Amino acid sequence: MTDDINNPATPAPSTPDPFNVSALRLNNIITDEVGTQKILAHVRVGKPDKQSFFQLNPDPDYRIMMAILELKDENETYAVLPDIAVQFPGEIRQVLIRLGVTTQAVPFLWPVPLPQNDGRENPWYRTARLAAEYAEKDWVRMVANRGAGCYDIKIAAPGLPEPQWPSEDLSQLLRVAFSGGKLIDRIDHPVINRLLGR
Amino acid sequence: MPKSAKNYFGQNGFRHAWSIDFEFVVLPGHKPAPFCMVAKCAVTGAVIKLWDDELNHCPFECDDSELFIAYYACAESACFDALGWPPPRRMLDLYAEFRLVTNGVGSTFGRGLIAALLHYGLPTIGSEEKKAMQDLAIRGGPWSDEERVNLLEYCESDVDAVLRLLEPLLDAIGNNEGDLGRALLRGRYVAALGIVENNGIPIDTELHERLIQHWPVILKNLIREVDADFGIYNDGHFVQARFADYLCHHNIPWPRLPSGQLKLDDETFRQQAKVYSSIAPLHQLRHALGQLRLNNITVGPDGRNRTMLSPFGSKTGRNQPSTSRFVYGPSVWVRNLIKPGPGRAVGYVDWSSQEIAIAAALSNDALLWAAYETGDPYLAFAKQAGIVPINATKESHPEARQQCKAIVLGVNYGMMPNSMASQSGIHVDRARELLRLHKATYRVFWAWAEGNVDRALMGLPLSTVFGWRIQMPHGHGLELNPRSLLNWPMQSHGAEMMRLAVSMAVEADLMICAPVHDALLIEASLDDIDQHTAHLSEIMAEASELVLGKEKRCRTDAKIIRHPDRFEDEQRGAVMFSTIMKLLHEAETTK
Repeated sequence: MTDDINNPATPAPSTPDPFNVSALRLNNIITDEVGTQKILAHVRVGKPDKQSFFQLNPDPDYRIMMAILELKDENETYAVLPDIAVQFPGEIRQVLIRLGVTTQAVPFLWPVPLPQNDGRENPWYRTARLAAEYAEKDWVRMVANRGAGCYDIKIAAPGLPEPQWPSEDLSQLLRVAFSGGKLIDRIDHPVINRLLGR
Repeated sequence: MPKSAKNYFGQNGFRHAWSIDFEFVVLPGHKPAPFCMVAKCAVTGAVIKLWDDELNHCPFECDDSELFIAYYACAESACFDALGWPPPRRMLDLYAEFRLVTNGVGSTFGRGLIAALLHYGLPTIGSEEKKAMQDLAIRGGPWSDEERVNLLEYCESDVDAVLRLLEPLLDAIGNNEGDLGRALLRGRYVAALGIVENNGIPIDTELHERLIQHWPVILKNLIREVDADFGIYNDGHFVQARFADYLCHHNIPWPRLPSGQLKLDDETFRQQAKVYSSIAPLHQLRHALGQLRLNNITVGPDGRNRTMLSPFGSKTGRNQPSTSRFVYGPSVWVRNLIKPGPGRAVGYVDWSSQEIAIAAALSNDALLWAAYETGDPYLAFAKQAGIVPINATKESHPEARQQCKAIVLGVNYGMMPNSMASQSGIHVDRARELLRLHKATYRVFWAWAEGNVDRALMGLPLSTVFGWRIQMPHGHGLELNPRSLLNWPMQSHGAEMMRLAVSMAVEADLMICAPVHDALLIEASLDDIDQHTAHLSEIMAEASELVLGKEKRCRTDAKIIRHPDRFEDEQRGAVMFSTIMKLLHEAETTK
């Protein structure tokens, strides 16, 4: 039974068309920025991990000469202000801090050893500097060769992606790397007290 | 009639927007047999009521200006098909729209029509009254005059309920460019799926009946047969200590409960059986003993398995058919019951590495897409990450390829190195290293994938390119599983691909029997099957390009089974099916 069918109104030119699929595609879902910001909370200071390929940033703005103090047993590295560093010549090392990044985009600061003043050449330091030189252009892995007393340098085959550098400048990276008491900026710093047996 | 709905549809060019509902009888495995229909137009106010023979003629024009609106419209589509009416060109399924609105945040009352009305605080008939009328409809005719009046009134009450739901759901759909079109795209799928449900899957009913008849004896002997290789059962009971001994003896690591006991649930067995194929018969035996009821598979008098395919049932928008009534639901070996009749054949066409293609295309990761395009994304990853030389092949580096496969597949599921290691039999350190390399190689993909998880955890919606969404409630971040969120875009876009392919294939007059996750089952005559399967493959490729974007096509693989052969999954179900057939023979020949 049928009742009360009104005369239909004049139809509009066309109704939404589910068959014109490409016109319904939402393209902006792909490029939508989510709006989160990743905070750099930790930067490791040390030589490159022997299992990671890394590159060093060739930009001169990402290198700085610094005095550091290494506590080998604790695997900790401290930055030392120059006026304090001169008071402990046997404990402090002058290094060139370089920004490195692994293939997984993890940044680190590598204290690259400098040539020794007395003209003698330590093979460990020399090969480390050589690795640093290669790492400005290629993905490099540095593995200790105890038998030969130096580092072996391995360069990755082509095809790995370009390095992804952090957006922070060097001073910001240093601030994160040496936060939490890792900057020796006074003579009564706990690490200095420990060295002096106080 | 909500005035705003009248304006909405009028502005969108519809001559009629029919809220429509059928009452029908449907026995297990049968097509629906409609006996009454009520339709009310939200634009003109017109009303149509049809009873029994009056349904022989379709009262609608079914052109682009006629919109059909229903709640769970798949049933209405199946009724159109069963009555021989032309399929609707424009369909709006308020069930799909309600699922979309509540996907993630959930609904307090459930998913049915009454639940949707309650969700919006709209008046509804009582659930008891609804159940009584449903029972009266299911009982079948003949109905008394009073029952007939009651059934028509009940049918009309559902039509009115759908009209009441329009106002909040049209608000949710929106009226910006493409909003209604995307809702109609979902309706287009539902219109096609009703036909697919009616098509059903051809079943070897003779074998099905023999198995049901002898199932108790088969089960008893199945323990003896399968356990001969394991020695785990004692007097029909699974002995955990013996199983632990077996695992130790065969050096198979096994997940444990916090208590230290072995995890023995079906999902654990399923996952472990994928890695350690020797476990598979034991898994299938446990499933057969615990859950499998062969007579639950609903087969109609024409020998076809039919059941509700439940579109939009899952959070990803995939179908969620019954695992017991659908022949693809229970153990893999049960699929061997699928058999085309004389003169007929079926084709099984699936997308290859669909999730990798989706991940690569939607994240715009050129390296990952390049890996997909090689046809072997696992070996390509191994090459791109420097794990194998650039000239390596599947044959020269099978182990490295297998390890990379575990990582590439595991990543899509957000698996951790421990799971990847246990599922692929590699050391956890190796899995960790490979995952690290994956993150280093496919950085664009990872930034996109982690951005999606961040977005969801912030309570923002994730969406597919055709508007299927999920939105988690604020403050529920700790209860979410970031791993399933990581996989949501891949699954939901896979579902979009499948919906498009089903729609296009049905509209091309191909006989689709069922969508099966990332595959479609098609049937045709022996003469037509090659051509129809090729046509379906092309449609699936086209559907993938519509989802993934221009010139990004997902490959397909096709397998054809001609009568008298039967469907089989050689890798996963063949051994068990062979054992079952042997035991059936024993049961039939032993008194």
